[in-house]
Amino acid sequence: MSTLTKEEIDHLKNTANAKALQRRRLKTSALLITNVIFAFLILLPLLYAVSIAFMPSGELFSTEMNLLPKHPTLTNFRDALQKVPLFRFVLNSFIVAGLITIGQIISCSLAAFSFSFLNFKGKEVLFMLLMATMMIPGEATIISNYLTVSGWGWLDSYHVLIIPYLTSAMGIFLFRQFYKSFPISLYESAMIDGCSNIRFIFRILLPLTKSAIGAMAVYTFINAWNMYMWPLLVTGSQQMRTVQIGISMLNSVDAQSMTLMIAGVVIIILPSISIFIIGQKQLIRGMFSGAVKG
Amino acid sequence: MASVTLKHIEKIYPAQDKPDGKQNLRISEEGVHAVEDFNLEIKDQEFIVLVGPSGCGKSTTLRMIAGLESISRGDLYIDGTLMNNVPPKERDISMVFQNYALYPHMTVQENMEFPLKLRKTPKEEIRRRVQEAAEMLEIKDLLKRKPGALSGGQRQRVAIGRAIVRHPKVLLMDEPLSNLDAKLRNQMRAEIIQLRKQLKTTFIYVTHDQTEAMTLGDRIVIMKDGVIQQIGTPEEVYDHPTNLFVAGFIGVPKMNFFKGTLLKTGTEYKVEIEDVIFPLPKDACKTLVSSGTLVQDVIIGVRPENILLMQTESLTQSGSTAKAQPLPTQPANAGLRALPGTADVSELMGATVQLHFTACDGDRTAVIPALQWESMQLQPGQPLAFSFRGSDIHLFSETSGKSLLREPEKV
Repeated sequence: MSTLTKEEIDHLKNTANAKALQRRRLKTSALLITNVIFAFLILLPLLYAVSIAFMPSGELFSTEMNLLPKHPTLTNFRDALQKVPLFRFVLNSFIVAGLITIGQIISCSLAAFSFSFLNFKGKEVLFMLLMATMMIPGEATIISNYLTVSGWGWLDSYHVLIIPYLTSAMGIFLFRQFYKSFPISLYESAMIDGCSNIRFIFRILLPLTKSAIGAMAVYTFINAWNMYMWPLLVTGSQQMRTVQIGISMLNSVDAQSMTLMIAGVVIIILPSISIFIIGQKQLIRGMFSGAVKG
Repeated sequence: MASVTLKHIEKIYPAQDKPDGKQNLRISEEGVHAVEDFNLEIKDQEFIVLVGPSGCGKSTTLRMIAGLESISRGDLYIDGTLMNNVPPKERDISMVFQNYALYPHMTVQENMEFPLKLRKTPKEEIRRRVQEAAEMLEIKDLLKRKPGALSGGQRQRVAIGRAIVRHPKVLLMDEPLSNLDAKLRNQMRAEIIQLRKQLKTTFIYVTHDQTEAMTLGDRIVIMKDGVIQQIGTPEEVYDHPTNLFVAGFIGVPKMNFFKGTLLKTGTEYKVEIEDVIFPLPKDACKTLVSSGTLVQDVIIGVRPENILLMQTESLTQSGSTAKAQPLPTQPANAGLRALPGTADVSELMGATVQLHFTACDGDRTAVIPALQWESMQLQPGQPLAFSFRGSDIHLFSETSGKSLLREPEKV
């Protein structure tokens, strides 16, 4: 048997290394390409909508395949803003979604605090009852809710859009899950230190559950922003309309101008997308913090 | 700076809330009895240690004193005031938790200021007290840091600091050292002793580690299954355990227990283990006479450090009753009777050696000086002989497990 020289050993080592490296690179790039393809497929409608928003309407309705605008124009945006008070709608939606978010965070965190830190009779039953309300679809109660608020003369106002949504069973449930992983000894320690419950919530609990609050805020804001049925039912004047309804008004005013409508859609999805991008980290961390950390 | 009195304190959990793995507790119609008839008078500035295996109710008792658990029955007095239904913050106590329970988003300084701020202490006073505590605990350099940037030992110091800045009447500690590694634990133990001298407050300390209990406590309360087994100074519980449980729990390594018989001739008592007779010393006989103890089966307890190992040459010739010769390093024990055994493994602990051996149908332990061990050259599997002095014998009733050598008034 012949012995290998040092050079030969080195050579063998190098080729083996190179092969492994190549294989790994191949794997990574295959994965990347697959991901890009899927991402593109999923984003296609959105990207196409953005593209349409910049097209003159003639281009869209031609027989040719037009994925990108040949003569990009901003007229669609200008027309959309002129046809309906889109900025007013956006402002309304911001006010409504913002206040609902703040309200839900306060009410849900307080309720979840008592469900997870305090001991009182009937706690379990009350919580079950609360969870049971999550099983009733919103559509089932919408008429009775409408009759109630109209009886109070609340129609067509900000408070009718906001107040019914100031708390949510889902939010309480989410917060309670977060608090369950919160070390109880911190609460006990604060109690012995002489801390009141309210003070504990604002000085210790909330600062330490920022990620939960972030997740809740993003989730609630987007839900409130996308609300359709309820605002449609309870608002009548242009002053009180939110964006989702405003956009459908573009449809009824000028039924055939697809490009105009899509320009409107692009304007109104910008805030919710940007909220999502800003809050994305918090959202993912919050949604999974219970699951991963255990 | 206060006395604490617990009178017939009980904790009963509803049966459906029964924690898993606590089958040892008594269950009645009312529920699970986690603590039963706990009576203790803690003097001002005393250091009391509650010790026992996990699930014995020691933490529950501490939490009842803190006000974190409700008291099912009985009365709790702090400085003569009934505290049963007083919320924790009005009891003027502070507590150090096992997991430190520091507020992670506050700096060390803010953590320590927090309880004072809640009590609306003037700013000057807050600064002074935090400085004072930080100096005492040597954490002055850490004041600006957050708990996340501290080591376990430093965090525990901060937790103690937060507990002492308030100058509480009673300082409660719930296994404060059990999250630390062995070396740090020893160091912190020494520091707690030091701290105790400076603080002049009442300490109630919970631990499952009998070494901590022995070194820290003025008095130790040993608990098992929610029931107090013995209350006494470290010396008392070590030298005169009231029952088998205390005898086995206090002391490392564990006490050796032998089955035997108590014999009586006139006013003289003797114990017999496997046909070998050990006479009992006079004061033990006196106690037994005064309590009118009869001839019966007993359990004889001997601490590992009281086991005397002997040379075995003579033993192999004439059996267990041979006159074994004491080793030169031991005091003269001529005339002691010896029992046979077989050496198992040995552990060198430094100055001493723990020898595990088999004798009288059981595993036994002896602690001997390392020097003596070297001179013996005992290999695993080799026969050995051992003995003990009558004065080192602890005697327990086989039926009740109670000590027979404790005078009735002490029980």
